[in-house]
Amino acid sequence: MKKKWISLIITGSFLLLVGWFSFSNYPVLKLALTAYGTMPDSVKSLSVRLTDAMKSDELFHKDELITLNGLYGRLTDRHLYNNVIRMKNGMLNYGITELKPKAVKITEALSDLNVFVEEQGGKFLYVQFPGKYDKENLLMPDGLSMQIPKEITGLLDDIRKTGVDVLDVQPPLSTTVEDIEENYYRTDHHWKPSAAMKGTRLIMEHLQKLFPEENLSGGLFDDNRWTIHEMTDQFLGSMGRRVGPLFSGVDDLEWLTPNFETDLSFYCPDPELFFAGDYETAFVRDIYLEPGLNKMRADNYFVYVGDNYPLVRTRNLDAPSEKKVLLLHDSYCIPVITYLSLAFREVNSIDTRYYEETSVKEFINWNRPDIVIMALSPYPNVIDHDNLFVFSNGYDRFLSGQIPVLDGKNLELQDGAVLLDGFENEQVYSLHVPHIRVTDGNVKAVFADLYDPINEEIVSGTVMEPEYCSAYGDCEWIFRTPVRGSENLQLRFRYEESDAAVMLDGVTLFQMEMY
Amino acid sequence: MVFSSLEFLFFFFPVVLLIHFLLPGKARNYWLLGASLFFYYWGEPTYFLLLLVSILVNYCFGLLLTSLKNNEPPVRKIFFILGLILNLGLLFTTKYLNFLTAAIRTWIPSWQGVVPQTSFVLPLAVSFYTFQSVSYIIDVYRGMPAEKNPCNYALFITFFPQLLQGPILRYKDFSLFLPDRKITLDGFSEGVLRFLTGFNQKVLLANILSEAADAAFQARNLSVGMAWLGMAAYSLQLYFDFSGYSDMALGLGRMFGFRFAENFDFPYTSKSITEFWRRWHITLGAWFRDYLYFPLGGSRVESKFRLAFNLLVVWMATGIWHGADGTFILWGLLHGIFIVFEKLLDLPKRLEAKKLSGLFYRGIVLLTVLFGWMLFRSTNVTHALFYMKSLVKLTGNPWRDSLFKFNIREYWVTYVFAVICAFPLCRNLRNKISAHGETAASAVRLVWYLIQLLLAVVSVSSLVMSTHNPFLYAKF
Repeated sequence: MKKKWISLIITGSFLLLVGWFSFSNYPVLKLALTAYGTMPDSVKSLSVRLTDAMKSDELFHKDELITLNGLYGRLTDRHLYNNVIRMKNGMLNYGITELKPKAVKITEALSDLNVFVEEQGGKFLYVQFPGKYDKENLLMPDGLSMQIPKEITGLLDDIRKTGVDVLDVQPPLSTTVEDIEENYYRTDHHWKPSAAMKGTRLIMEHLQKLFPEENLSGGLFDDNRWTIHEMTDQFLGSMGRRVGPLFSGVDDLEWLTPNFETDLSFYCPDPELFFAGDYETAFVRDIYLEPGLNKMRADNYFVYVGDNYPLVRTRNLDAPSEKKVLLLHDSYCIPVITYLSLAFREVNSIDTRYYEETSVKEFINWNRPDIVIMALSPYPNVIDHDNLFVFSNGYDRFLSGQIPVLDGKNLELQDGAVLLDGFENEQVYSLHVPHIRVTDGNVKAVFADLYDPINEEIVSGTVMEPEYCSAYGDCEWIFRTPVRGSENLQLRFRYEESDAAVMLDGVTLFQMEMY
Repeated sequence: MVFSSLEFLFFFFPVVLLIHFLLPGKARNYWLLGASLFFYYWGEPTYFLLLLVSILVNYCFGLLLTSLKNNEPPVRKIFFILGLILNLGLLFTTKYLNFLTAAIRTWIPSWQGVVPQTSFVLPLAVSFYTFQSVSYIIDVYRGMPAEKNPCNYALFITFFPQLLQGPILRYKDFSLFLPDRKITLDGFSEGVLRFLTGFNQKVLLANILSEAADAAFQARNLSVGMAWLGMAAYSLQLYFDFSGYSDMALGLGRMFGFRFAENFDFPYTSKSITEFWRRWHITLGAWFRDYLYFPLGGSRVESKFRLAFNLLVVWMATGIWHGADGTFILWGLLHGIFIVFEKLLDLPKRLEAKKLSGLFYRGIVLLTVLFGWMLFRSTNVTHALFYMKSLVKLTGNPWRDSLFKFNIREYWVTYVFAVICAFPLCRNLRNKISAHGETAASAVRLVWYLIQLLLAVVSVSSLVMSTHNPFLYAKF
């Protein structure tokens, strides 16, 4: 073949490839030009925007390029790649082996919270979940080791000395290499739901000792009462998504469902989500079970619950225990939330990394849980995540008294109803609905909204389950009005089922006195 | 914007190339000038005006020197010296004044009230464009006609393939391509191959080796093994970073119809330090040779003492050009001493016939070069001393540690490929096969291109994931 033909092939193919990639990355350029709704006002601004846009998911064939990059890493025998460690057994872990010093004194914060919870009439328990590392550090590649185990052991000892009740769930779940392989996903930092079940059993055993007079779980978490489901090659974990599926493989997705009948509700205020029914209806998100799902974009770990939400609430009329639980957690607790919801009549779960509506102490004061559990994974959250341990915002306002605003009002909720127009700014109100009567149709939930009719948006809200309210004689919602504009807000009610009719009996609204 | 960035590859370069080919002959130069100015402004908006002023001043000086060619030699000389002072003064002020004021204030504390601590920021590529400007002024003074078209001169200084890190061009070579340049299919494809080779060297070798090198040079406790490994890793990183950039620059230039001088020629195969500087940053060595060494008398001096002096001056200047720190001066001095040694003893020639001694000296040369790079990379003289001691176990350090174990284990594949690519093994193999005829030569060329193209796609994938992509020589 003549030199000219080779030159033509080289030139042609190069120009085609460059042209194709350039043209296909037009969305990236468009993103850079139109980000923030305005064009860049300088070359520097364009430069910054373009660099950021290049990191976005708009980049042409980004997933395939990452996958290819992961394959290259594998072929060149890399073990620390794009901040991910491929351990000796092929499992992936965080690429951080040196820890930063903590700014927040965890022990003091937990001790303070412990005292506060006791003052509020509850019990506090700190649970240390296990991390994806074996005790002897045998899995780490030669030359790398993790400081985390030593840091955590020392920390737990310090916490115990302050009088806080500590449950260390690490030993049975992450001592040996076999423990890690059995209990953790290969490509994700999370434990498997089956491991979370083991952790939940340990929590329940511990709580049973604290409340010997009650049968808290009634055998709910026995092995033979649950089915473990698996979907082959369905899950590429958070670390796997950084290096692609060819660096260290793909996981089978696991989820558990009970073999017994269940009926409970799941509510998330932001984003507004409500599910009521059996365990699967309430907690299992089918979208993550779709076979053709793009593994590079979906985080299938959230097959339970759906995501890390700031606050979720579960209610279960069939629960063996009538206690209310507040769970302060990170993403390790996602399966645990669903398990605990079967044991307790109400479980509120706050992810303190994201929850901002009130402080934790305010929430405890307003909600009055019987048990407060803080359960965290060791890394990065305990070691590195300061705002997990901020329980007070310095402007906490606790309930001390109440002034009636509306007393004993009955409301018919056809096509929605407005209970009250106009509030005072930055005040705390308490709404009580003793009884919800469904007079026609089947209504699972009544939504109470603090609604802004001018901007047509819901400022805050809650869900009241008719059966739950009736069973416990009361549905309560404590809410804070915003700093300004509250005079325009409405407290209204709605439900989603058409052709249904609902009556609220004896609704009372108080303006709370705070200290 | 660097060549090995996605913004350059998918936005800047294709647009510039496309419009360059759509425009008629003369307009192309104006387009390239505009694109080059934009390229510089993208990376250095603060001192963009300084570049423009430098271009304007040197352009005017060139015209002035040409107009004064036959009249009043003393006046012409004055303007020539003024031109040099202005250019070197710019370089001195932006690059060395901070170091000098800091040194004076440290060594003579009583002068602290008199000598303020300056804090000039080094403008991007100032060392490179100042040296090109100086070479232009000197060449015009020596008789080369000055460029009358300001845009042509501006393009010489700012042409984006060579603006940031060279090669350092001479105007007489560059100007050949200005009025009329042919872009042939063969030339363009050569440019593509060259660009891809450099791109892959930079991303897949230099960037990865930098992780090992950084680990060694940032460690507070360094085992002997890690010290040597780090030194070797940095030497390879520096080579592939710089020669990779040069290959990309030459490749880009070729795609636009320009042929630049070669800047690297497998320097780690050198049999002497003298030869090393004919293979490493060739255009810089040639610049110092033509504009400093020869004016000092070069090697045509009467005394050996004067020869040694000339060489040491040149190598001190080379060291200082790289940076305002004791480590660069020591580095320059090291090379200078060796070159003096080789010149006085006529060493490379004398060892040609002696295989064993020649091999032994080659080892010395390589060690010297590596040691020099260690000086180069160290943050200051204290750090360099610490590193030196670590190399020979004088800090009580162990032979090896977990850092060494990890870096050997982690990067062994890259080390193997880096060593292979640092020597002309692939080139020699290609040449050997190509010698079998046109078909073999074409096949080799095609296969080599396909390998580089595949590696380039892998390099792009690395860029997508990577956040670690600095060019080393850009800080000069």
